[in-house]
Amino acid sequence: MNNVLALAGVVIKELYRRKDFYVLFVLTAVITLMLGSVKFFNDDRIVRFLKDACLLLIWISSLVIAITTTARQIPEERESRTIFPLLAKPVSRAELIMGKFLGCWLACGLALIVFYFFFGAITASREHALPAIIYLQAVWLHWICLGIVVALVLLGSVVFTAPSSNATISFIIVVGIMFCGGHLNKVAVHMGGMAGTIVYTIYYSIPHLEWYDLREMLIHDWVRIPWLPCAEATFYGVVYSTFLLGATWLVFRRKTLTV
Amino acid sequence: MYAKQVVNAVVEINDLRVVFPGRELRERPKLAVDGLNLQVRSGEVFGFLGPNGAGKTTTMNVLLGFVNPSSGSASIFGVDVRQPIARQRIGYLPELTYYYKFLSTEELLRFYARIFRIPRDEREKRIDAALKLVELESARKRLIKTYSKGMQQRVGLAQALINDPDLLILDEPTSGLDPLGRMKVREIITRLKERGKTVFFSSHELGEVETVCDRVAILHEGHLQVEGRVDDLVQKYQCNLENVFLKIIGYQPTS
Amino acid sequence: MNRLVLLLLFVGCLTLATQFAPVFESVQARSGPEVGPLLALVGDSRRLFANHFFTMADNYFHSGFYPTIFDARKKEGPSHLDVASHEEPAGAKAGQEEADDDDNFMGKPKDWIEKLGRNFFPTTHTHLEGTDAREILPWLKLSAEMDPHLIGTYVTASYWLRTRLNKPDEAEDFLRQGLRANPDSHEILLELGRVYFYDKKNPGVARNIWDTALQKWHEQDQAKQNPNPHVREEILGELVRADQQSGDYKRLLADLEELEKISPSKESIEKYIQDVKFKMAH
Repeated sequence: MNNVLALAGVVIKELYRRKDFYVLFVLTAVITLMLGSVKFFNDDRIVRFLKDACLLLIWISSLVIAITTTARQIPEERESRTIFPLLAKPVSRAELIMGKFLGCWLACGLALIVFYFFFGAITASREHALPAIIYLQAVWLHWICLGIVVALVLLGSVVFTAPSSNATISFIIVVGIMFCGGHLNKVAVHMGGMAGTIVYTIYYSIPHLEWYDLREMLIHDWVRIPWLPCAEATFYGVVYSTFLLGATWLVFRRKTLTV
Repeated sequence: MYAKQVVNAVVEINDLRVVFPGRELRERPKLAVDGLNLQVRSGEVFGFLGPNGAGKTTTMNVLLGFVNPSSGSASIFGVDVRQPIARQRIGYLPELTYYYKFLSTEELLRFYARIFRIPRDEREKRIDAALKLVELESARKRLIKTYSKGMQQRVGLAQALINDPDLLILDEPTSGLDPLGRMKVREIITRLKERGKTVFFSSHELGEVETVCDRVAILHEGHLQVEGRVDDLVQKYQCNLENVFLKIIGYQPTS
Repeated sequence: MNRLVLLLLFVGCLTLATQFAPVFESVQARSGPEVGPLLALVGDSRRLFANHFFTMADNYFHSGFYPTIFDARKKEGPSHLDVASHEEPAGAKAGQEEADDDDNFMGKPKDWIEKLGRNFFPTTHTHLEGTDAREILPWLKLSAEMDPHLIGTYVTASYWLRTRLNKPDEAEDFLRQGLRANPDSHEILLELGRVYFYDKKNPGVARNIWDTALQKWHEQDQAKQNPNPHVREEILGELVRADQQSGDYKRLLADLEELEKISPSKESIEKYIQDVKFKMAH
């Protein structure tokens, strides 16, 4: 665990010393504030539109941070040759993977706290209320979702050589799952036959990231979701992430690293 | 922690064979190392020699766990090299030194010290000592990306020594260094030997090898050609180490 | 020397600009009305965006409970947002029935994944109440920006602005914006008349606007453009109300007789006509 935490610390240091996070946060804040300054029909109490825009930007930014940060971890270590002095220490490849995962995931968590704090401030300034529980649930589930995404991208980083191709493919997969993943069963039922079976298999295999998107609940001021589904989604996320990390280790442990 | 085993052979390589699969579909597998048997004894300075492509780097990669052997075994302090704990007592200086550019030297050394599980109170002392040794005290808080090449190489040496290793593995340690730098490296190797440490390094600077090494091994085309004390080899072949090397690898001068 | 060159360049540029400005303006005039940079970028797909934004308004009206393209709609029909904006004004049937099984596009969950997933998005059919209807306005505004020829956007927005949000001035401005882009729209004129009749309490102006609306409807009917007959019925209904309020029985009778021809409730209208005739006689 000591090595894992040490590696995670280095990843977090890298994130806050790079400019990506600050650029994305400033962009999110500026666009949200600009939209907030627009008055529709002289009504300054319209808030859902603003919440929608802000949450969309937060989700886009968080996915950009998660995917680009994770996609470059191991390939950049190999390319810049920093992996050699690291693995020449008593660090196993499993610890390296876990450390990178934990670092990226914690870094995403820190970014989420900042983003959602801003979102909460904007919303509270308009609505003069802050439903804390649903907010916390949204942040928590968003973070769990990013854990699955980070694990997925980490697997991609040991399969694909170039971080750019890994990032692109990961983006497409993640966005595709979020838009269509939950509806593949309906598509499968319509298709029927062998094609339907294949689609249904894909439906059961993919991680259902759409569960973790509570934007509609936040935007439209729905009450909190029950704790049991929240716990079930968390458990699902943990299991799926573990599975992906295990696959990453299986691929990476036999990889030849030549100086 | 780990159990210190009193062994004569610090590094033991038994019948090591490493085959790299071809990258292209029709490319034949490449035999990098074949049937290598080698021992590095405690407290000696061991030179690992050979022309380019001989298998030296591959052998080192196996010892460091970067490459898995196709067959055979290798151990460090009696522990199989595939176990991470085998690297607890070693320090490694790669030929090309690259470290996290977004960290300062102090942060980098602290990170590595933590990996070695050096206790917190001992950590800072070790960092101070390492920085003093490589003369980077004034630049300890600067990010590594602001360092010159020479400074980065000194960072490499500092991180290799942070855990006060019993075995130091050096890959071309004097490559790219000026005469002053080479002299400093020789001094460090000598000092380590005096403290009873073992040094295992590869080099093309045969003059230096002859000066500092106790024993050498010469590799050629993946096979061990000769192994023994420098003095014995020089006496046997009646020439300096460079000519011994050339004779072993079968070099014939054209003129 | 450098300053002289710079000066000459500056003069040259000014000369070229003055020479080409009239040419550019004539090209611009030929290319049609000026569009903003966003619309120029989006091109003809702005109509798709306009429709999407209108759908988003409906989505917001239902607080996120809305079918996706993957959900099979059991019946096709106007959105509740549209339906509500065509409601009879206050006093008529209040609160459309929500418990309609055909609107539950979700059906039973097919598997445990779908069952669990339903905890994370809205699954109850609701409509925005009271002044919460303001939340749909940005989407309607955007829809109108994208496609100024989408009549329903103006009518729907106006309805909610005047009935829920007490903003008749904003409703009027928006409708007039719609009229500038669609001068022959009887639907917009109908809604504009309502603003004047119900909110600004100006029946005279309202009546004139409704007369114009009816005239536009007939023009389109004669030009075989197939205008919506339901709108004609609504216009006549409003004219009848205006006539009732003003006490102008002659016009009331004429409007009722025209309404009777197209209304499904012929019997009740005929009875009302007889009442009016009786009042006129006495």
